[in-house]
Amino acid sequence: MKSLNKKIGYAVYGLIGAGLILTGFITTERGLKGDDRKEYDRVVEDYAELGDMGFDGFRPMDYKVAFSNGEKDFVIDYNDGDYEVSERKAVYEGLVGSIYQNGNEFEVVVPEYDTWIATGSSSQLSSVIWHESFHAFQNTKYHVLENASENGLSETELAERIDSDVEKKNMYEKELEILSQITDEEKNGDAETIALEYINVASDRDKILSDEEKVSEDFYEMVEGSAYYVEASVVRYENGEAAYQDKYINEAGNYIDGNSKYYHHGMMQCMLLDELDPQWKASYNFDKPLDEVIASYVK
Amino acid sequence: MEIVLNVVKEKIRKKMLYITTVLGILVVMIFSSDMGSLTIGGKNIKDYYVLIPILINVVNFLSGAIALAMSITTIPNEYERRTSHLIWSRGISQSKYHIDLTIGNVIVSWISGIILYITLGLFAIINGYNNMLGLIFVAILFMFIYTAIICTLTSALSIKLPTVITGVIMIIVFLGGALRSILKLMSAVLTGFGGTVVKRLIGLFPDLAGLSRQAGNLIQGKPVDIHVIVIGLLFIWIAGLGLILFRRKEA
Repeated sequence: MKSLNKKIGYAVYGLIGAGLILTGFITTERGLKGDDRKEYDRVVEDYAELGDMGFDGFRPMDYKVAFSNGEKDFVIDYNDGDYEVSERKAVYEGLVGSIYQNGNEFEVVVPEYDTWIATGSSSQLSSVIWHESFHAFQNTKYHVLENASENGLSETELAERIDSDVEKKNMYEKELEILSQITDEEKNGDAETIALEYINVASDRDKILSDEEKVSEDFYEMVEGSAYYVEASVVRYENGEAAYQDKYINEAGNYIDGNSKYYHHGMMQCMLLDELDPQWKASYNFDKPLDEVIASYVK
Repeated sequence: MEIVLNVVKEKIRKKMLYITTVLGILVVMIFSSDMGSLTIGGKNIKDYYVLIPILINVVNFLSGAIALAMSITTIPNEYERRTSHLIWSRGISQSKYHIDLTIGNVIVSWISGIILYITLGLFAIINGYNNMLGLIFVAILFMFIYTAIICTLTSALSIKLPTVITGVIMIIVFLGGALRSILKLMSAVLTGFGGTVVKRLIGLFPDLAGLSRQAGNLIQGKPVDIHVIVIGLLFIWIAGLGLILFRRKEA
């Protein structure tokens, strides 16, 4: 009797194990994860409200989005309100938020949602998709990377050079300070005065920059700054004014060593241009620095 | 049942249990009241809904540490004191003996965990989040799985391995599981063969961080990932198999 009970006990234990293995197998997420899907859906929903944000023809869904775990990419191809998902070997290894050129197409590559959350980032992953999609747009329609100067420095190299040069650093700090007035609701009524003051300081600073520093700064402010401007607008819509001010505006006027100052600078240039001419984006082809566009409104 | 109760009685006399529980209560008190504040990204976290997942992580971690510290010596000590021989003479099998000793440890870990969760609940009321109370107590179930994983794994290993080796392995497993999300993130930047190996190894740790995260999700009204719970239970099942199958020669 005791032996029979023991056998029944083992059988029950085995059944519990088999049940757990089966349930584990059933509940394993395969392919594109639900959280990644939600982030993409958020982009589609945001677009219905935000549209192209004034950049003629910009639509994030025009570019494939790959959610990557570093080993595999799960690629979304949007088509008329629906999307197909395919799987491929990761095009980038490691933790990446970037664009990827696949033949003539530019695609967006972002980390999977759970990896993104683990970074502790306060941004929605959907806003990163907007940011990278904007780079795909810049490159598909305006070929910004293809047209970039061969003399350009990498973002990191440029930042290191400027951070270590007191005069260049101080004058850039001044530029940021002037531009940040546009984020202050009490002062941004006088956009032309801000623009004039900014152009004067920027022109003086251009004189002490080498050619490669000048073209590189113009490039990153234009490319990254405008993408950051798009990203900030998405966060403002998705997370509200407080989150927008906190993450994008409050510190934008401060000089920070590293690459981020070019993002802040470029974003504020876009904001200044919005005040000078709300239609400026419709005719902007990413073929000239934002400084030049600003200068064209004050001459 | 008698063996289980004896383990519970013996363990609740341990100073370590009280020290760790009091430490947990203090942590919850400090961060839940105006005496201290937790800052993330330079910002004070005052909203209890934001704070609670972090506190759950801390409370579960402390409960896991209690479970580990208690389980590591229980079975070896029984054999060392030859208590095991008294048990065999009463016709109780080794596997039942191991399981009962482990259940005793699990119960004590749960008791100390419940005390910490009651503290969380009290501070939820003090901070005006009475509506959260029910969910906090449901979240205890995640702590039950968390500590049971540690107790069963530690106990199973302690049957076959020397205490020091069990301790080293379980500290690695415990920390690896509790920090699994961070390790996963760090490994995401690793590339090549080495990166793949590290990622696979991290996947072997029980997802203790995931269990705490699900408890936080439950309270915050976010979706709970059933898969994490099932895999947690599977770890307990596998360790339970060890308790049944592993034998000591001294017996």
